[in-house]
Amino acid sequence: LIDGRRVQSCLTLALAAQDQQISTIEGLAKGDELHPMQQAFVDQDAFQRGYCTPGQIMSAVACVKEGHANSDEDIRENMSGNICRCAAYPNIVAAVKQAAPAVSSEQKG
Amino acid sequence: MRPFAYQRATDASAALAALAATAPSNEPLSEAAIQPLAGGTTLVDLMKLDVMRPSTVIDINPLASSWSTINSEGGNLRLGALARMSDVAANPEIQHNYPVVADALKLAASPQLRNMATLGGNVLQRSAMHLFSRRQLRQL
Repeated sequence: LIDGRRVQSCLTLALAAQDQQISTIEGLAKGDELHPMQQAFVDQDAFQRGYCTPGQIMSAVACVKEGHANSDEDIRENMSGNICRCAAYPNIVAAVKQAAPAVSSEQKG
Repeated sequence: MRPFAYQRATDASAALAALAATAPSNEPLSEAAIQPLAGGTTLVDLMKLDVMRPSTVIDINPLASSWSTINSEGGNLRLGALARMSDVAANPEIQHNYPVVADALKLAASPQLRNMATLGGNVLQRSAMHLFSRRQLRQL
């Protein structure tokens, strides 16, 4: 996330992101305490191989903060940029739903 | 990706002059040595694929404050070239008065790409031409 907006790191030049706030999966947990979205992914078994999981979780946090997690369909549409080759999609939708209330009540950014 | 110089534009006319100076007269603008960087969703991709080979990239995003406005005063809709697809799609005025524009934007790409991609870049991108992204094929 750059300044809270989800973007694709593979198409972003690091230089061009200078002076902007960058959030990655590494900055999500508070010490040993998992972020609600991380906890929800564990609770709902929302991954298999885990390769896509950091991107899924960051995208999910932004998806909720954008107000785009109001229904299963809403979540599916707005998480469509994150591909999961293991097709853990039903569990990812369940995880986003579980964490949505806690994430949306967080301070924005 | 080949090495390239990176510059940040601070002034639109200076950036335009720099771009115009290397614009080839008998080749597509995509062959110019200096390329503008907006959302980067096409340029960075094609540079990684070694299809586009600029020696200098001018980041025009610092100009966004004056070139990303959405204005529909007087019944004419004017969209800034640096307006992001997602920002235009989420604009209340666009949603209310030009819903087909908002709907069309939401059908393109993914939320991540719409957060990056600009309308100007969208109009100018040449990815619709499949052969363009295959340098070897173009040189046959």
